[in-house]
This record gives sequence, structure tokens and C-alpha cells, in this order.
Amino acid sequence: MDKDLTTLPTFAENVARLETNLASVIRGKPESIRLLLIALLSRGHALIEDVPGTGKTTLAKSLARSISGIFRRVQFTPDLLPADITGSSFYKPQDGSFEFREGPVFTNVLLADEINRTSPRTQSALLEVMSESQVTVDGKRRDLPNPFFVVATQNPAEYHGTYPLPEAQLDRFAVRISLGYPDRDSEIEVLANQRDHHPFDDLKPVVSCEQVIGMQDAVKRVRVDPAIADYLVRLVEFTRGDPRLRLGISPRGSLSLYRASQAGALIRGREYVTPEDVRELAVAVLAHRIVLDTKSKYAGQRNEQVIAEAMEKTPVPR
Amino acid sequence: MPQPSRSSSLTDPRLPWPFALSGVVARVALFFSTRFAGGERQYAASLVLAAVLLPSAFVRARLPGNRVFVWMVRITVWAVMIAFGPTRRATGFSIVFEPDYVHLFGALCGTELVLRSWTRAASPRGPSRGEALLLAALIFMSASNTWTSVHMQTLVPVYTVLTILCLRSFGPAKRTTRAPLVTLRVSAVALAILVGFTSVFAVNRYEQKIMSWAVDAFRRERKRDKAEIGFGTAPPRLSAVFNPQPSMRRVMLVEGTHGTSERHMRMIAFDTYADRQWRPVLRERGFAPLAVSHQDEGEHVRITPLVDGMELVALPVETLAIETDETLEQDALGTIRVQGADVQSPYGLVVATTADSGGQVLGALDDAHRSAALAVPSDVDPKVLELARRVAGDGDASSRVARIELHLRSNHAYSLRYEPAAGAEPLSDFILNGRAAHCQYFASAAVVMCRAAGVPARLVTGYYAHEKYGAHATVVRDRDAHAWAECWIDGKGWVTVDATPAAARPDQAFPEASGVRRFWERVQDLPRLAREWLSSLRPRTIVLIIAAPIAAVALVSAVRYLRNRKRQSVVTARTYIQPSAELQFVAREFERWLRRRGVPCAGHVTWREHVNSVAKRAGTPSPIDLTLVVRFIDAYDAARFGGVNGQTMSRILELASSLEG
Repeated sequence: MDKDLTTLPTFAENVARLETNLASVIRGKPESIRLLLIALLSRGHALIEDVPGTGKTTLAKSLARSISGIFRRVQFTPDLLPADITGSSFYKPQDGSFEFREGPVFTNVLLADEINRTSPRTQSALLEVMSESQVTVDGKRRDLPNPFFVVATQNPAEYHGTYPLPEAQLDRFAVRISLGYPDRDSEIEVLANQRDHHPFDDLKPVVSCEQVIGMQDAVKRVRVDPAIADYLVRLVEFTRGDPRLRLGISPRGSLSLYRASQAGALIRGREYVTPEDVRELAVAVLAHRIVLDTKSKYAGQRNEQVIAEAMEKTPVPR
Repeated sequence: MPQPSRSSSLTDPRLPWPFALSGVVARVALFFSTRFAGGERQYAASLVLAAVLLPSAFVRARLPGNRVFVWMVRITVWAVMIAFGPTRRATGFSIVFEPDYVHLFGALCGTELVLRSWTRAASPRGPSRGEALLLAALIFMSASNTWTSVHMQTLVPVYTVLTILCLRSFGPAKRTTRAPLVTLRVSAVALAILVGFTSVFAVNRYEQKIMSWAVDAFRRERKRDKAEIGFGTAPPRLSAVFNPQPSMRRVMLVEGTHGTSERHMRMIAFDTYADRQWRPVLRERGFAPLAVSHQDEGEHVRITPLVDGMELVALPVETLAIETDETLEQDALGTIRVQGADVQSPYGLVVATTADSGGQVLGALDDAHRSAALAVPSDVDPKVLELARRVAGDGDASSRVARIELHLRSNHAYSLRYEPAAGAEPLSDFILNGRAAHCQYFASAAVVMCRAAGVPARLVTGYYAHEKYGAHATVVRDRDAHAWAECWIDGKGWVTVDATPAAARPDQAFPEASGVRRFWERVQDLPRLAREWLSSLRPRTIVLIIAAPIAAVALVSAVRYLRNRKRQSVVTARTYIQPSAELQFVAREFERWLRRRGVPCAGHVTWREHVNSVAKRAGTPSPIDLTLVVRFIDAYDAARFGGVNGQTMSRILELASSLEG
């Protein structure tokens, strides 16, 4: 065991507070909330994908508000340009110099709403932002605030006027969360809660940016046994050799799963990763990174199935 | 720790309770029937099976379901049963509760029960519906072994109702709460007992009726056929019509025909004619045992009966010897039958190859019968005698007979219908007026005329075998029924005298069997041929035949098993970096423990996931204590993946020993 033992109670407390906060707005979706927190704590980014009206944006907004940091929202539209996101230099007639005005990415939580409605050109502006937490404009590198967390939403059901996310972009999301419809009781609760006002308006920040950074650092120190790392890599390797796939999982994918498993273990109050942590998160972390070839896609195969099969064919370390 | 309940082991939790209970009923039935029904030898096999069955209910290690091995055992048992099991009995065609069939089924279903109980149920809810149906039928057959015992007559209906209930429990389990199910079960058992007693009463009261219905249902067709042919117990009557609807049903197969394929297969002879009828009838005759003599010189012919209810042995008149295991008996007219039974099993004949030597089997003509064989019936017109003497002329007996035969053949036409002139004696009318008639008239006329010419003669009915069946066999059908005369020639014995014109014999008078029919008959013959072939083999060869494919399958599965094990060894947790020897030992022991509980863990799921899914299985008491197991897994994981320290290790060992109970 590590010296983390002292920080563990605070970690659990913070997670509990965040979860309660989010659960007061998003009813009946504790798994989705947990996945979102895992993405945040493993220094990843989250892609929330579902049909309209299931609370994607609300979930993203609620998380942003629960952290007492800067929150910015960009509504992705077809005419959005890269500079609209990263920011650009403006000419100052007073002294003839250029002044850099920061775009919306200079924030702690960025909500990229309907990310697939903008052109791939603009989507690509997020590549550097998401992987390196920095922006390079006019040859000058600018660091983004810490923590930096992107929550993107997209609606997969609609095809008109959308641009599917390029694989490179998808790969930069740690998890893909699918909300789905709430069950009946939760939906009744949602209706009752929003009678006079939206519960979102009552949300208060429950953790500070510093606390988030502290939690992210704690996650990094979670012990991963070599056997677990081996297991994780075997899962990933399975997808690389699969003839049904046009694209397997990148090392970035395995790294994401590694970090996410650490976060998942710590959220459960464990300072070491067990194979269950890996298995629980494998679909959420890996499924959106693989690309099925056309034949398998039209044969009705789904990405989730391939990952599930990888888990079925790979022995578990004991 | 609370031990998983073992009190219900007899009715294994993985089998639906009525299913298990019906198994117990069958076992009890088998036991009692052995004790009281007196069939020790027949039931011994079933008892052994039951003995194997009982402990299997207590043991957790089971055979994997529907594996090749299980099927191999199944097929072996069936094959042995078919090869060595009881065959058709000498007592004849018996149905419904023919004891031997029931024994066979009892043994089969006993095997099935054993296999089933040593087999792990495919799903937590027990065997599939189809298997259950099949098994229920088999168990029923086994339980009906006990039909003779009064105790069991009660158990069988109870069992039947339980089986029906058992099928019910395979239905969708929606909305079933516990309480109504208990009521249902209790009332079902009560109903079963009521139904049991009612049906026992009914069966005891109306047993005779039930049996005779069943016998009639099976025998009706045969009776009709026999009546049409006009031989057997009914004596031939000179009727207006002969064989009006020739049936194509096969009666027997004559194998070993090398020379001529045409034979008169005689069955019964008559020597007294009066009032249009030949006598004596079969049941009035006295039979005496026939000594079977051995004879090697001659043509060896094999007769295979193809119908049930053939009462008499068919043979050509030139037969020198009969080869059979049955006890034969013969009457004074050379009619041969099997003592106390129908002719069912094949028999061999040795037939003289030359026409000079008469048949030895039929015996000589003694003085008492000589006078009967020479007696001219009194109702025949005296003109017939005159005509006969004139036709026969002088010369030896053979030439007289030949002339009479020629006369009848050349002066009479053939017709299946014969309308005698009003008031006239039909036989005299036929002979004197040159009428057309069927073979019975020709035969009767030949007999009467031969007698008038001083040659002993009698009327014979049987079959005229002519239809080729392969190169060296002929098949005899109902439509080949025929009648002819037999004359005694001194120094030669009895000879066949068929005065019927060639065009009137069954081979010319009736159409051939169609190709489709012949093909279908060949197909029908296959099981019989297989059976004959099997019975001709020595036991060692049979064992070899059964063992060879099994050995082949065993070899293939062994190779497959070894290959799988090799592949599996790659796909086990062992390939990961291993923890300390102590932890490895604990892990191995834990997996062994799971296996012992009947819930082995697959390699691709974690222990925790596995035990959770085991605990979630609905409807069965869990074989493991979930909370305790989870506590153990927690401790193990902490040591395995979180780094071992002494404290956790001792905790693991403590938990592991508490698991063992």
C-alpha cells in the first residue's frame, strides 16, 4: 500500500459529493455519472452520445457547474471556424500591435455541444487541445488552464448536416457514454422535479479546481499489477488482429483504459486495480475507437460486441 | 458456515421435482417388481441400473451433458439390447403388454435414467422439454414393467400424472408465486392418487375387454386375408369364385432355388369330398410328432415366413428333410405344423433334385389311407367314372395320371368364375360338360378321375411359387394361392399333379407386382436382413463391430481433447505473471472447491463475476455462500493485485478454511 491512504477519505468524499450533485439533476443514471467522473479523474475527455432529449447537455453542464472552475460552451455549427474555438490575434490600431484574444477553449470545462455538426476542419482544431492541453496560434504556444476537460455531445441518430467525427478525434475521447432513456420511475421523478424550476439552477460547485487536480494525481498513484497491465494489453491486441476490424485500438486507447481503470478502482475505494475494473470499463473506453470493416458492419456486427468478444476470449489473471 | 442444503439431494435441485420423483417411482417400481413379480432375471439389469442411479443423485461431479461419451454409452447399450435382447417369441404375435418388449424398454429407460442423472443439466431449470418428453415416455415404459404387480398398478397412474405435471413445470414460469404452486402440488398428488385408484379399478374390472379390443385392432387385417385365401382352418369349398381380389401381400420367401424357380409349395391336403367340400378340417385332425431326419443329398432351400399367422409349414412334395429348431408335428395327410405356434422363424428344407424319388417327409401310404385315397365320392355322377377310365386307358399308374392331366388341360378352359348348371352336382357338371372353372375344380376333378382310374389321390392347397426375387430366390404372395392334386405312384411316392392349364396358374392369371412395390419390399426387408446378419455373427465379431466405431470416436475425441487442452493451457490464467507460491496454491484450491460444488469457473470471467452469476440463477438454492465467498475474493484480490503482506495472507487462509466448512 502507498502513502495515499491519508488522501483516500477526502477523495471518496469528493467523489460522493460530485455524484450526489449530478444525480440530483440526472435521474436514474448512476453508471453514466460514474463514467463521466472516471473520464474527468483520469484526465481524459468524455463523449456523450445519444438521441436528443436524454440529458446529454444537462449532464455536461451539471458537471461543469459542480466544479468551481471556468465553464464555457461552444455550440458547434457548420459555419464555425477553428479560430472561433482556439481564439485569434486582433490588430490593435492604437499601438499597431496584435493582441491575442482567447477562444472558448481557455476554460476548465469545455462543453462541445453537437460536435458532429461542424466541419472536420473545425473538429480538428480540437486535436491538439484535447491531447496536449495547449493551443498553438500564430506560432505561439499557449497552455490551457488546469484542469482541462472536454465534454462533447453528439446525436448519432441524425445524419442530415452532420460530419461524423474523424477516427483521430474519436480516439482522443477517454470514454463514450450512452445515456439512454430513463426508466419509468426516474422519468416520473424528472417530471416532478422540474415542476417550477430546473434542478440544474440549484446546483452549487462542490469541488474546487485544486481538489480536482489533487484527485487526478491520486488516480495516477493507484497500483496496477503487471498481470493487469498484461491483461489489458491482451484485450487491446485482440482487436488489432481481428479480421473484422479496419482499425484496432491504439496505444492511446490502452493508456486510456489503464488510467480509467485506475480511476474506477479508486472511486470504488481501492488503491489497486483488479481485472473487474478493466472489464467494467473496457466497452466504454474501447468500443468507440475501433472501426469495423464495411462487410461486418452491414452483417450487423457492433463495436460493443467485438469488445465483449475480446473479453470472452481473453483469460483473466487470477 | 451454513452448508448448502443436502437433504434434497435425492431430488436434485437442478432437476424439476416431478421429474426426479417420477424417477424414484420408476426405481421403486423396478425393485418391487423384482421382489414380487418373479421376473428376477429380466429385471436384474434394471436393478443394477437403479443401483448406479441412486448414488449418482448424491454425487456432485457429473458427466458433461450431451457429450460424445454419453452418446457412445447410449448407442452401445441400445446396440447390445437389439443384438442380444429378446426377439419375437415362439408363443406368437402378442401385443400391448408383451412382457419381453416391456423388459427391453425398461432396461433402455433405466440406462437413460442413469445417464441422465450422471449428466449435468443443460440449464439451471433442468433438461429441455424435448428430452423430458422422451424420458417421461421411457420412464413410463419402465414403470409399466410392473403391470403384473398390484402395488405397481397404483404407482403407474400416479407416475403418469406426475409426468404431466412435470411437463407443466417446463412451461413459462411467469407470475408463479410460491404459495399457489404448493397448493397446486398438493392437490396434484391427491388427484394423482385418486386417478391411480380409479384406473386400477377400471383396468382390473375390464382387463379382458381392453385386451381383446387391442388384439382385434391388430389382428383384423390378418383375419380378412386368411378368409380370402380359402385355406388353413377353413376347408376348400368348390365355390363360384376363387381368389376374387388377389392380394399382393408377401407370404414367404423361398431361397436357394438353383434349378427351376417354379414350385408347388403344399400346405394342407384333403382326402374326403362330399357336398362340394373337401375334408377333414384342420382342427379335427390328429397330429403326431414328426421325427426330423437329416439328409444332405439334395437341394437346400430356405423358407422365410413374411406374415404373421402362417399356421402350417409350406414345402414341396419332394422334400426329403426339414431343418428347424422348432418341434414339428404331422397328420396322416402330410400336413405339417409347428407344435403349439404359428410358423414364424425361417426353416430349411432338403428337396430331391430328381423327380424319380418322392418326398420322404410325407411318409408312405398305409392301407387304411389307401382306401380313403381311392374312394370315389358318392355324389359324383357315375358317368364321370366311365369317362375317367376311358381317358386313363391301360398302362401303369404314371401314364394313367398323365393322360387324365392332359385331358383336363386340353378340354377345359379357365375362368375364375364358375356358375354350375341348376341342380347339377358342380364337379360332375364341370367334368362332363367341358366347363371353364378355376383351379379348385381342376384339382378336384383330377383327384376324382385318378381315383376312378385306380390311382390313390388327394387334394392339396398351398402356393404356386414362381416370382423371382434375386437370382436364387422366389417370393410367394397371397395371389399365388393354388390348389392341385397329389397322386401316389407305387415305387415313387406322392407326386404333384397340376391339371390346371398353364394360362390359369397364378403366374399367368394375375398381374406382376409393380416395380415400386418390389422396391418398397426390398426396403422393408432391410431390418430383417440386418437382424439375420447380426444373428449369423459370432459374439466376438459383434463386439468388434460395436467397439470399432466407438474406439474411432474415442480416438478422435481424445485427440480433440488433447488439442483443446493444449489450446486451453494457452488460454488460462497461468500465462500471466504469477503471484507467490502461497497465493497460487490458494487460487488452485479455490477453483477446485468451485468445481466440487458443481460450478466450475470459466477462464474468461473473474471469480467475482462468476459467483455473482451463480448466485443469481433463479429457482435453485445456491451451492455456495455468496457473502463468504465474496469476502474471500476481496481478500485474495487485495493480496494478488494490491501487494501481499502477512496480515492479508493469514486472513485469506482463514477465509479459505471457513469455505471448506
